[in-house]
Amino acid sequence: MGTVNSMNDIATHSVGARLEFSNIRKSFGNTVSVEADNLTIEPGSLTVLLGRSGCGKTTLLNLAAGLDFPDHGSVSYDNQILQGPAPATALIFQTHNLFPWMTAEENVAFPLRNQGMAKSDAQEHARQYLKQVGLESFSGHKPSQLSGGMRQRIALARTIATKPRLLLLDEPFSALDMQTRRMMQRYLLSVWNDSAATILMITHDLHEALMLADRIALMASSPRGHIAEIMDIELTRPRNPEDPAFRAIQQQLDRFLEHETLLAEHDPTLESTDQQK
Amino acid sequence: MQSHSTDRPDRQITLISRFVRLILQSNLLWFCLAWLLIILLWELGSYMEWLNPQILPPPSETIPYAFSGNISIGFGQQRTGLFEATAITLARVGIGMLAGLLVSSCLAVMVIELPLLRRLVLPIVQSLAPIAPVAWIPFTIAVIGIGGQAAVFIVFMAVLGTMSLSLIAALDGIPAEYLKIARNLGTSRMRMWWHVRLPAITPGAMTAIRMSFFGAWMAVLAGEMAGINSGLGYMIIMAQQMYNMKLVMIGILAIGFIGFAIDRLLLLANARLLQWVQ
Repeated sequence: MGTVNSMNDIATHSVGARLEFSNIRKSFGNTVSVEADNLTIEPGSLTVLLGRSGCGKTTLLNLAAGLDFPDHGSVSYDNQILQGPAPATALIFQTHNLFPWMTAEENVAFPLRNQGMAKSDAQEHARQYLKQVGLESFSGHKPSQLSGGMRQRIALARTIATKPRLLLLDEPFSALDMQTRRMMQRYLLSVWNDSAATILMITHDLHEALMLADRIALMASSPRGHIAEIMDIELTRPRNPEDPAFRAIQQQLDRFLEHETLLAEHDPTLESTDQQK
Repeated sequence: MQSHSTDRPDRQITLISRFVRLILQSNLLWFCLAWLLIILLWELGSYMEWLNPQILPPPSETIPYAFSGNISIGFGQQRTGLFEATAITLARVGIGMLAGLLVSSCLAVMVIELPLLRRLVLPIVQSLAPIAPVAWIPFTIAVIGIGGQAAVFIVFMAVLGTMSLSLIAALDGIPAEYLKIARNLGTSRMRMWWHVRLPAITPGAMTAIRMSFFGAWMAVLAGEMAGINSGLGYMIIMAQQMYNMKLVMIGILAIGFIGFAIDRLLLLANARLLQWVQ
């Protein structure tokens, strides 16, 4: 039982990773490309990449995960250039996060088993992590028996289980309904508060970006995918969409996205093409 | 009391109608009905002499013969019984398919792990797959002979191409997210195969096994009819040559029923294994 009692301090054990993109150029064939000159993501911060689809957000995320590599420039993780999968990094996607052939518990226990933990210990831990997201009574369920929000919560539980220093989220809540999405945003914030992990998140939802981010990197798709602007969001937490300051930033961002859309309408080569995969 | 006596018959009626509906929805019932109809028509055909009973003996003779427990054909060394022949044929299909599954799994693993091999192996497999299984029969008999190994080899060749292609396609079709996440969760190469790729392709693999079973089943019977000297196909040819049309009929029906039963079993195994598929 000793291992399980120590669960309370799992979250506070480590410091978030520091991530730095410098002079990144990445092309796919001759059509889609993305560049990121300088983007530093401070340890423990929550940065959001905001932009329409096709502007290279997912590419940047894959580079950060060390699942793909830039043609020019480099991604540094704690001042070390990434040359393979980034250490202590967790990924959450919009869908396909959980392995559907495993139960909720097996999904959460999977990374622990990868680390060589004994089966019974891993199960015990997994149940504790499921408890943290309020789903301990669903530990024997397969993902197909659970709602989209529950699945993402289990994915979050598994993510906490790996004790990540960097959390990469690719539109994790965009397949969920509005209420569930709000709930998941609160879950994410509480996980972030407890863990001190660095979070880099992709979204095209402006409201979501403003509710969560310390920093927003606005991405534009013309003439090629690039970071157009980096904004520090200095709103107090918890954030309130009714707050005039919140609204002011929202309008400012709205105008930017609107401008982007107009540009895209006049340039057929910029038709949304998701270059992930 | 009064209300009790009035709604009782109602309840009985709903119970009966529910029972009737349940029976009518049962696949087994319709399966039996359909076969009963065929048997009746067949019997009627013989009785009315639309069918020549010498060539197509009526069910009233064939069915008792099938259950007489003493069905065999041929003399001496060539003698073969229905159950023995069926067992031999099933064993050949089983061994051939297992071998095919084993070899195609190895091929698929190598193709995924070694991109260079994909370029080399895939064209070969792709050109093997469309060859009709029966086309291997003359070649096999010439090279291997007319024994049991030849039949196993025919089954093996019948399933190798399609099974390899299906397995490779299933592996290529695994959503990229699963692999990315697994890699990110620190999954070792072995665990990746065993806990991620294998379960992910099970639906595709099970379909491939069912499909190739039909191919294998046809091919082995054709092989046995074309020269291999034992098994169900051989028994039918032998019965035909000795003009035992009852046995020919029974053999044909046995092929159908066993094929059907095995397909159902595979389907059942499928449902058991794949409860997680939405």
